[in-house]
Amino acid sequence: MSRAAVRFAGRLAKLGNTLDECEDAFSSSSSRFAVSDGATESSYSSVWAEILTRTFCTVEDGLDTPETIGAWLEASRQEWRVWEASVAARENLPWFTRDKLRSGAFATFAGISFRDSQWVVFALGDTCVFVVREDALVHSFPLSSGAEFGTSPALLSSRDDDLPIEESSLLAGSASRGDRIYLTTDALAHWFVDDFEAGRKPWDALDGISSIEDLEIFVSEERAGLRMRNDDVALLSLEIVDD
Amino acid sequence: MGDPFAGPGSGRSKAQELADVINRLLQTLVTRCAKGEEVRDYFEIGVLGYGHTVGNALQGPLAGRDFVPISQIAFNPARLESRAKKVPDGAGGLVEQTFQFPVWLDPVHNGGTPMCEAIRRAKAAIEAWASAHMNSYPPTIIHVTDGESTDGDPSGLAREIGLIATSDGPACLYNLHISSTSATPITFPSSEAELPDQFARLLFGMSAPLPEKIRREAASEGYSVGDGSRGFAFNADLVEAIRFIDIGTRVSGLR
Repeated sequence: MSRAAVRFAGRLAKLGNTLDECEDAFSSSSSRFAVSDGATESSYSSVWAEILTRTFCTVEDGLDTPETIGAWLEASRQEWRVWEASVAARENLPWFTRDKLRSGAFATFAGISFRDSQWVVFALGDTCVFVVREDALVHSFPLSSGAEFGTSPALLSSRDDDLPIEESSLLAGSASRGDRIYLTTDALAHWFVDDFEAGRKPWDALDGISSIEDLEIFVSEERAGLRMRNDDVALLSLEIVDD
Repeated sequence: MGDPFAGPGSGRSKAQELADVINRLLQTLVTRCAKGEEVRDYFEIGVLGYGHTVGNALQGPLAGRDFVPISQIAFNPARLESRAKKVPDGAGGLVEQTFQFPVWLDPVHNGGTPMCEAIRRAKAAIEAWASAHMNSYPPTIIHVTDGESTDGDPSGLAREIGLIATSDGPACLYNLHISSTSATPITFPSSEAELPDQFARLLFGMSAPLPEKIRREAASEGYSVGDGSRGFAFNADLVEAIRFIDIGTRVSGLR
């Protein structure tokens, strides 16, 4: 039997911001791992990103079909509504804070859920999952080319919306010992895909990151070389090992 | 959009419609810059009104100020009005919620439309601002009018505005014509051909071409725009006016 071991988990704020202002979130449990990027335009999107990643990793039911994903999302929205009501109840809230809160929060998301040696990924937007087996990229999901990264990714909304979860947002696969799996938000995901399209092996650089300091050095260099956009960064690196 | 300020045919005066457009514009810009309980100062705003006279139009604590950072606009409306609205309660019913609407301008019923004097004042203001902010995004003048000029043809002044620049490019003058008729609005046209009259063609001629970034924003909102599309809307109602201004001010990548 195999399991996913975390080799690295960490996040950095965009250059110029403090970690408080970072809108990327990540979370993990023994069989669930998730990363999310709160949309800058919405207020409190970091709260929404945190709710999404945490609940994905702790909700009891499976997360491998559109129906179970929909149920998890509804539970997340319920938690958001409770939090939102507590903020809205404050009398001295500025009018624009109230306005923007009412519009809801938005985030991209990618989560992977393991059961035995099978996994299912749910992803929406430009937060991506990369799977590398025997030094070759076998999955790049949901985006696989640099051209697909734009400024208006699909987003999960904290409000009720009628859009059903699509099968195309799910990817299933099996885990083999030695597989490396990377969940990253858009700036790093875009860098990864660009590097791969240029004929290189971006996972080599990610495998060299085992501390936040390593991540800082790597990201600073890539930002300075204009190979990575200046944005929040979150990285979860997993390796499939024997149980 | 569920606006408490009703649309065409509501019987509201043109002066009220104009004040509504400006108040909603300021509300849109504040909301866009808001982050939690703070407002990021991405913009400085000046509001000039013209009718019997030409002058700074903000009321309340900001009265008389030329340019004001957007955070000060946010925290200093002349007043906050409360309106109750019925909204879905998530369980198939409706619940009454109170919404607060900031008001920075009240309608001023004035004679005359001294458009040249107003544009001259606006030009002088942005000229001074541009030389003090040479590395900023160039100033944008959004001219909102419901009628024709009574003090001459402002076309020459409009051209001069395009000569003011920062390191990022030329200043832009956009023209927004408000109408309370039910005529179809014409937004971001690229030629005079579709325009119904001389007045529309005059305002079109005075309007700057849309920068590429804003053209893309307009296209992503469903407008059909081309290379020659200008920052101009004719016969806009309140809803269309807000869309026009929202798109025309998406300069920083912050949507």
